[in-house]
Amino acid sequence: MRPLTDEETKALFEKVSKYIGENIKLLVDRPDGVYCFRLHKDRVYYLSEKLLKLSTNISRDKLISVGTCFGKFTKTMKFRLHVTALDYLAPYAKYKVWVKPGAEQSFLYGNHVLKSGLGRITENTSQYQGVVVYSMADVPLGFGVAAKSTQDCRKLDPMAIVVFHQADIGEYLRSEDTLT
Amino acid sequence: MDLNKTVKRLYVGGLNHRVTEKELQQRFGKFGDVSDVQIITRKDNHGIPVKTFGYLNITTTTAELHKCMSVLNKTKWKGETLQIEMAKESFLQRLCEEQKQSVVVKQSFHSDTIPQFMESLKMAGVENFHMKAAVPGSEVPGHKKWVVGKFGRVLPVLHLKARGQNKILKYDPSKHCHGIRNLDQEADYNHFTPISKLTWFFEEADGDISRKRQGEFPIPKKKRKGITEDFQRKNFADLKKSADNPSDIKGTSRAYFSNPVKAPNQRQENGSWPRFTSSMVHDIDVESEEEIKRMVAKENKKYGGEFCKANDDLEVVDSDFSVMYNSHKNNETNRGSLVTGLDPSRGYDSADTDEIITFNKANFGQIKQKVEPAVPTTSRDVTKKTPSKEKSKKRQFEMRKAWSSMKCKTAETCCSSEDSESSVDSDYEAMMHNSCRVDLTLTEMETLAKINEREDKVDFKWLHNDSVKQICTPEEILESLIGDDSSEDESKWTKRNGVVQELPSFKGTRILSKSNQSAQCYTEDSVTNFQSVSDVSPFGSEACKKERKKIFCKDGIFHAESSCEQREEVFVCNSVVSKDCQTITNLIVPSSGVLSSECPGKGFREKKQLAYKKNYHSGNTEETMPWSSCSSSSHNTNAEKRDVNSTMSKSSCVPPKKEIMSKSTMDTHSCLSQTMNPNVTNTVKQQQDNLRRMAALMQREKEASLQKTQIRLALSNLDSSDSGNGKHIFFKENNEEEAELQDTEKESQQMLMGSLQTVVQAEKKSPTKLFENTEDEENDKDDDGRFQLKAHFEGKAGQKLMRLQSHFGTDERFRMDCRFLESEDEQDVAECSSTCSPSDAVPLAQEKQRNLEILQNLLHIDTQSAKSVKNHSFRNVSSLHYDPSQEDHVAIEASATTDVNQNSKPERHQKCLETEMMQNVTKEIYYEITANFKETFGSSKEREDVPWDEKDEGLHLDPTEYRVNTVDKSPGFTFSFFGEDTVDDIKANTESYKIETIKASKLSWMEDPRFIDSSSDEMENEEEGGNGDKMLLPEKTQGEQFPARKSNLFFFFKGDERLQDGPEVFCRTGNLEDQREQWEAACTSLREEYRKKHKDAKRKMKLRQSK
Repeated sequence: MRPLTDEETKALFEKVSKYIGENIKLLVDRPDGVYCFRLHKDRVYYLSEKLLKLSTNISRDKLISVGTCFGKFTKTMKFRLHVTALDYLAPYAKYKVWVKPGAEQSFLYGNHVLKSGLGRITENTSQYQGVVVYSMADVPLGFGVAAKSTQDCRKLDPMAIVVFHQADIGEYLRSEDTLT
Repeated sequence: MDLNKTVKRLYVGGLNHRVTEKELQQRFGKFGDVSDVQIITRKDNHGIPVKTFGYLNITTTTAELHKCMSVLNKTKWKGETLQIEMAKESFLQRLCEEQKQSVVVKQSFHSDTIPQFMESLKMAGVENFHMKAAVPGSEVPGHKKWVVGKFGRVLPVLHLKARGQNKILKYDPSKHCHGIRNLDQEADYNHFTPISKLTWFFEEADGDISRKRQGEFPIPKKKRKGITEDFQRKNFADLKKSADNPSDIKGTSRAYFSNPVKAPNQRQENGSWPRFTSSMVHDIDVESEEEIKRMVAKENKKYGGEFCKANDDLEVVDSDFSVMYNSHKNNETNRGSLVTGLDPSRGYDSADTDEIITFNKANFGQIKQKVEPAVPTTSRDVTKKTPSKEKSKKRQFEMRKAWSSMKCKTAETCCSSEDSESSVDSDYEAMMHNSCRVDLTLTEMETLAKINEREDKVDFKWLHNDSVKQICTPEEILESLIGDDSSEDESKWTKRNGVVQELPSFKGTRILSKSNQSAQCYTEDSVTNFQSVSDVSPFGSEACKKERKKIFCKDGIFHAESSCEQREEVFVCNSVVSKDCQTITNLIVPSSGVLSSECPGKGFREKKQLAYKKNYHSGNTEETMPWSSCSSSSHNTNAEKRDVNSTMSKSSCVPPKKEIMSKSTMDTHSCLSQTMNPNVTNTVKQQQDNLRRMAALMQREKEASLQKTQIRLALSNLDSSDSGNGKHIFFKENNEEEAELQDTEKESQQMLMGSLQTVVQAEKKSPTKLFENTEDEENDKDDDGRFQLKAHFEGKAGQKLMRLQSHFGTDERFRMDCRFLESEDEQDVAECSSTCSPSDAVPLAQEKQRNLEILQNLLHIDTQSAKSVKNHSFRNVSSLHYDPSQEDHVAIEASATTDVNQNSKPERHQKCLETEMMQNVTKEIYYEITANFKETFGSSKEREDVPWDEKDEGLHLDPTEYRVNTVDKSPGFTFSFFGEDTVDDIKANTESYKIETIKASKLSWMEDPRFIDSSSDEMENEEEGGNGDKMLLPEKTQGEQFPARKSNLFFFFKGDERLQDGPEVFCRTGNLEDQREQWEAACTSLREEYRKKHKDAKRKMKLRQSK
């Protein structure tokens, strides 16, 4: 368990800011406490200071997970965001996509969102912009990358992909083991 | 291995392109004489040799050749691996040969060849496509593609594309009958059968209209008949839709076989099954379930009350029997299985079908006899027409049966199975024909059954099992036909059914048909048909199945299973009665399981059922899953069926499912025994099932509630723990609540005393951050702005004080009052720093900073400024507490006179702010007020007249005048907002005043209303008293025109300029008429101008709009 280096921090912020933009500041600098990022076995955890102190009492090999896992660094030091970060992305999301009830299930199974399943999309979403996917009831389902900008979305045929799936809450069931 | 040397041509490949012919010759010369060496090099685009190989003729013995090959093959020569083979003919040669062949072939198919062909056939002994004395299946000599079929006919072997499968199947006509009739026998060509009496006709002709067309006018129809026909039609349509109508001839027999079984199912599902193709698995949803329900409901409505009496019908056997009797009386040749084991409730159905069939039969009644011998074959083989007819008939039966079964709450089964089996039954037919139809009473049948039973004891071992099965439904009937008889009958019947069913599809079943067993069976069955009322129960059918299976174990599991399968199918259809789709799945499952294990050929159906199984996810699907992969053991299927049945029984409301209790036993005997519980317990079991269901529901509810409570507990814990921390931001107001806050904080602090002080600090900080003036107040040690009960306990310092106080308790000596505050603060600061020193806090803060920096760099946002802006976002001026000693608060001070003219609050507010700003900006004194007015006024006369500009001219203030004024007046008392230090400034600024000129406005409206020329004030000081701040306070001056003043005096005096010049302001300067003329002249020009402007504006607007 160690704090992130500058490069790692940069990579992390870059990734997360794709989804929440400058609201990431609110994560770093919270009014209700001091929260920090820690790296443990290539995974980045977001935890409060208090928790941090407590966690120092556990040996490294025995420690499985602390706080919230935002994601992990791959072998090539790229940061991959996990669905467990959704709780922190969803409230600050800048670009949102709402999915129709029929296509909800499909997205939760790990499929991309097709045009036919697209309910709503934030205006002026650019292409390859990180988006958070909601159900029509405003329940965050996961996040992804916009395959087309909002304008392009209008002209698509129903079978075209509009959001590339990155993570969804179905993963809690599907890949329980790898989530930590 | 001849030792003669022969010339052989060898191919040598993999040669290095530098190899020459000579070298080749040398190399191969060791093994023989080499002649005619050819080296061929294949080159690519650029001339680079890609392949080099050669041919050579070598005269050698085979032994030598082998030696040569073994030695030289795969060896490396000049870097390349050799490859030696026997040379193939040169491709050119081969091509020629092929062409010749094709020519030959083409020629062979020339139209001229037909007579040749005929001749060739004749040569082979075929006359007019008949081969005499030829065993069916023998090949026609000389003709590969012809085979001798039935009756000595020479038929071609066909290769047909299998429907549904992407392959071509070979159809050998000798192996199928397909209703080939022995034309010779009939070939009394003098006797021409009219069209109406031909054996072949399309099944569709069963409709009223078609029959009418044929000249058969039906007897006045009963209502039921019409319904059944409608139903038939409907089901025909459904069946037609089904993709699985077998087209491949090879499969037809099976399909045909399967059809009857399928049909009821299809009907049951009301057309939903036909859609159950493997490709359409995904379509099967709840919708199909709903569909089924809808269909069922529809049909129920349609045929409503009529068939509710089914039960009654069931119970009242006699009447139905009589009906049946009638029908059977009419039919001598009973093709259909109507007779056997038909449910009395469906008696009319069978009667109807009987009638229909009799009509049809009548047509070929003459041929009946002829048909019989052919029947054994026909039953198996299905040609296009006959199968359709038979199929349709079967379908009718099945449909009707299924339909009626749907109506009947008490599922009847056996009958359907009977139906399925029946129609094809040539054997049965024969039997029926042979056996005489008798009007048998029940008792007679019983006796007969007994007789039969006795006869067939050897064969029907299982009959000894008294507990064959029970028949659920009509208890009365059961009681009447007690025990063995019924069971035996049923078993026999089922046996027969099983036998019958199996006949058509499988090769081996021929044996069965010819066996005595079957014959006996038939005889029995004919007798026991009428007793089969009791066969209604599904479980009975199940038992039958089992029995059948047993029976046919002898013949091989194959048969048993096939029969089983049908049974199951039937079973399925019966179970639909429950209107519970789950049951369907349950039932289907076993059948599917059976299917998968048994009949690979029934691909479609299997898939269908499997798919159906998948989609109907019932609790039993788990059970069903392994079944699909089960082996073809009859035991397994039995057990499974039973399982399904038991589960189904639980879930469904259908009464008759109680018989099957246990799931475990694989032994058919035990199964049988189980199923043989006396019928009386029907209702009891029903009740038990209900109880069980209730119990299960209750349990589920309990579990759910348990979970809920658990969750609630967990969540409540969460909440309580959070609130205790005090980390939440409490949006409470000032004042008393703060004390509370402090208390709570204190408590929390005490709780967390063990924890780090940083935490405590954080908590302490939290309330203070709520308030917007935190920064201000933090600066103020005395916590201005808060009204407090005990001032010294307020604020951060106060909290610490409070804490300290708590340490000392209520000891009088250690009362903490304000004296301790500041020191406390200092101490606290020290504490803060000290507590910050523990490793985490500072680095954390540092880390935070670093992170923010990184963020900043990354996102190009100014994190710091954003923060600061945030804090200053809201400042409530009204909440400020005025402190005269503070410079800042000067702005709040209001003058007595200024507010007369009322500015609205916001304006005033705005002005306030502006003045503040203004104050902050400059400390210049615009004017000076003298308290000593006497001096002012006294000296005024001595003053030179300040040349006040008139209205038309700009105001010009003579700075010198100012100076004079200022100099003259001894600054006895100068009041200014800026304090004493400004006095010096004034002096210092006088020079500046010299230089600076007040920017005079040319017109009155250009003046800043807030700018009040101080010079005027001086004159008016007298009047306005000591009010000197007018300058600074924003005032809207009344747009007063500055009167032209020659002197600064207020009162007019003689020679006052104002008196001279003033009136001029009010009087016309020029001639009115002239002015008017001027105006008019100007007017027109003005108008033109305005018009131009207007047009321009319009044009611009249009342009803008068009954009």
